[in-house]
Amino acid sequence: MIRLATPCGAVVIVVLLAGCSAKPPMGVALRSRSQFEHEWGRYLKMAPSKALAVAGDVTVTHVVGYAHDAPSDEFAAREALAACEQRRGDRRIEGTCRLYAVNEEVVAD
Amino acid sequence: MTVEAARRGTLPRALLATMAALCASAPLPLQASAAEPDATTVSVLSYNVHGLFRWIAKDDPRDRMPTIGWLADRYDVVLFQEDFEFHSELAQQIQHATGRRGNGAWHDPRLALAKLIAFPFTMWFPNFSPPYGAGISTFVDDALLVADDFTREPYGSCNGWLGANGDCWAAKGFLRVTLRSAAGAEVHVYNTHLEAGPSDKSVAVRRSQLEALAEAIERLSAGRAVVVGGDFNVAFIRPGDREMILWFREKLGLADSGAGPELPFWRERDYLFYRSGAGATLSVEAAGEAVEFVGRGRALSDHPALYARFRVGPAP
Repeated sequence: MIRLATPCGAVVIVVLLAGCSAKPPMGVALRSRSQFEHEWGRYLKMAPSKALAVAGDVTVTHVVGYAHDAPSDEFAAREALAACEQRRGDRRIEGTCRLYAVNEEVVAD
Repeated sequence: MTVEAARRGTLPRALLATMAALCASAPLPLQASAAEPDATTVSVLSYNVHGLFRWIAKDDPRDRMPTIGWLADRYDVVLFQEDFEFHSELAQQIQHATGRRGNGAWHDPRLALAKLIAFPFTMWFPNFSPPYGAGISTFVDDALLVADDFTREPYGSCNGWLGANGDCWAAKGFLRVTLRSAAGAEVHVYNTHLEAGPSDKSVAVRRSQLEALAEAIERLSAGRAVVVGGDFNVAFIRPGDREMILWFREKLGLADSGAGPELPFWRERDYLFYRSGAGATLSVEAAGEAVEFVGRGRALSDHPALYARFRVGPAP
């Protein structure tokens, strides 16, 4: 009985201590990766031919459009720009969509 | 919330500081348009509040919920997601609106059994009561709410108890409420939280839930003006997801309000869609991120709060 009670007691103490630990600051820590970095990471996993277009400022508010598994790079670029334009209209982001990458090559200035 | 409560010291200091900062900038809801006397302006907020048990949320949700509730009280219609453990803390701060909760968990035999099995453990911990219902709630200004006209239904599908975001611990579903303006314009408002996760199986479950929601909107709101908001867990750049959300919008004739994250660290998962129809004409006056829910380098949740301000007029 004692052999069973000892580890159980230890678990209870650990749980109670964890519950009484110092209060964290209010709120949830903001993500360290930006939205665009996350989107870029997802884009890199897509199959070629692929393209990524962007409207807005990638460090603030922006939208992306993409295409993947396309029959050619040119086709992917057209599809990505069209998808970006549609989303840009939804989010009412000013400025035009520009091609950011074709396959894994960044073509933006 | 009252000044008396603040005097008694029952409000967190952070909430008091936020109150002071925002008092001058509170929006003016329910404004009649001067140009269109029959039109009303209705502000809608959609916010996933990350209201889980503190060890799962990895912060102290009890600390931030009063602030979220107080800030949300400034909107005419509030769609909360993930209010699992903290609905009452939110509701306490919302003075001018009536809340409706989404479906519970007891209708599902698997969840009911899991609840009973977990009870000997969960009973020792405050604010820890899995499994959950939909975890959604909608608050509507008392001047707009049609009190007895609402629907809540579970989707009955999920993927994963231990992996894949553990979505099976909640009976996700949708909640519909009805608004009616003083001029008689009626709008059905839907709130939902869909399956999370990037796996093919999660995407398939999410698609089936979106199809169920589309079917429900066609059944309950055929031809009517609607607002559909919530955490769709749809990433525009995830293969399969973009096609899914475009299909949903096209099938129901929904436009995107334009509400989306303004700040660079958010991923886009939450949406506010709308359409005009029998009952009301809707147009968007403003939409975006309600950035007052983020401050001092920390956010009040792990999702952005989205808002849209709609002009609601009578149907043409």
